[in-house]
Order: sequence, then structure tokens, then C-alpha cells
Amino acid sequence: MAEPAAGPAFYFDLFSPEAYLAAERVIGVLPVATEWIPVTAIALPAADSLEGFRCETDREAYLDRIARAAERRGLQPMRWPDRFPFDSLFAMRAATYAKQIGRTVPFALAAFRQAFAGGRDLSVPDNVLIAAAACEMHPNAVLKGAELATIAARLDDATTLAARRGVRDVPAVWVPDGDVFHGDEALERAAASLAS
Amino acid sequence: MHHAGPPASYVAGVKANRHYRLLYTRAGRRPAGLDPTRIDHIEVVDIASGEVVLFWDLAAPEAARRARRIREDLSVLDVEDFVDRWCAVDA
Repeated sequence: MAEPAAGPAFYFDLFSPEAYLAAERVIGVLPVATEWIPVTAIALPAADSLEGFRCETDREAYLDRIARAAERRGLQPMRWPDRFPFDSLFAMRAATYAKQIGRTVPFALAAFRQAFAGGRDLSVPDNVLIAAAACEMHPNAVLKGAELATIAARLDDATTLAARRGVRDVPAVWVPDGDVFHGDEALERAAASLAS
Repeated sequence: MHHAGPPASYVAGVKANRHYRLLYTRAGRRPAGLDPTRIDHIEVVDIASGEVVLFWDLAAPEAARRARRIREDLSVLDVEDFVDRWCAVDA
């Protein structure tokens, strides 16, 4: 298993619209450089899978809350994929491959925007490849990388390490003193912790 | 389903999420709606002691619904109300 990074970490899964909101501002809000780490949220101990809403109205209220937050921040209007939540495993393996070649941030931002500004289902490999192409990752390399057992193992290891650090859901920021800040709205508290 | 009662550190009026934490273990990684026969495991544990207070094994779609209800109730109910509501809920 890879050693944990010494500095703070931003944990995300591409299926999470709240992680999208956080990703769009984490670089500006946190006062120090932060490692972006792809994890499989559904394997974390208390992740919200964005399913099981009481009724369609309840689900729409959740989606509307995210859309209004995006609007307040000047992001592109939210467009929800036809199938949501989608299975993000292939996309997260691609993100893990992107991390290996030093392109986590541009790939993750491009993929988040494909999903939530473009309304593309990231369980469809072609949609992931479009995001990869936007940050100059060759489609064949991404397809091959995402299929590698070593990449799958890295994603599993990162998720296991995240859980060991106390990450229960995404988005989350882990700071080196051991605190974990969950949710987009906790970024400011994470920043204050890092600045103190 | 198991019920151990309010924790020793219980203070009336404090929200349940100060004492209890939801653990939601999926037996697979696909969304529950795409894997309806999968059985997932839900636990509510006492943060201070680590003791399991409530648990259920449920089909994935029902587990997703129950986890959402529990998450909501943890944030709005106090410990006694939370336990009263959920200790009577069987699989």
C-alpha cells in the first residue's frame, strides 16, 4: 500500500455533485497546496450514495440545492446526467491513472464538468475519454490504464487509507493533524485549520 | 436488529449525531438501483465506545433508503427519540 502523503489531501469521487462544487473552489480556498486523491466513495464507511430518497420531490429538492449552490458560485448551470447516480468505477480508475501521470486536477475538473455541466453519464467510457482528451490524455492510454490491475489496486489502497484516516464520505479534506472536514461547506473550516 | 440503549454519556437535547455514527457497508460498488439483489449492511455505532447500537442487513435499494432516513434522523432527533424510533424497526 502506498504511503500517505505528508500534506493535506482532498478526497473526491466523480459521481458526487457536492465533490464537484468543492473541486471547483478547493484550490482557491485552501491556503496550501493540497493533494487530490480519487477514492471509491461507495466503499467508505458512511458515504451518501445519493439514492433512497423518500420520494421524487425529496430528490428534486436535493438536486435543486446543488444547482442553486452552483449558480451562486458562478458555475455553469447544472445539467444532470440521464442516469444519476451513475457507476463511477471506470471514471475513478481513469482518475487514478491520471494521478499516476500527474494530471489528477485537470482530469478531475474536466470529468466533473462533463458530468454536471455537460450532463454526461461517466459510467459511459466515451464520456470519460472526452474529459481525458481535454487534458491531453490519449484515449488508448486511458482505456489501457483504467484496465490495469495495478491501477485498480491503487484506487482500493487510496480508499482504504482514506477510511483509515477517518474519511467517511466525499468530498473531504484531511489535514496533517488528523482532522477530516467533510462536505463542500466545510472547506472554509479546513482552510482555517490549515492556516492556524 | 440489535439495540443497546442510549450511551452512558447521553445528555438530553443533544442531537443523536453527536453520539452515534452511521456505518453503511455495501457488498458491491455499483449503485443500489443497478444491483437490487445485493445485501448491504447498516450499523449505528456509539462514537465513544465503538459499540454497535443498531444494525440491519438489507437489500441494496432498501439499505439506501434506510441509510438516508437514519442520516436525516441522526441530525434532527436527540438520542432517546432516535433510539425509540429505530429500535422498533426490523429488517
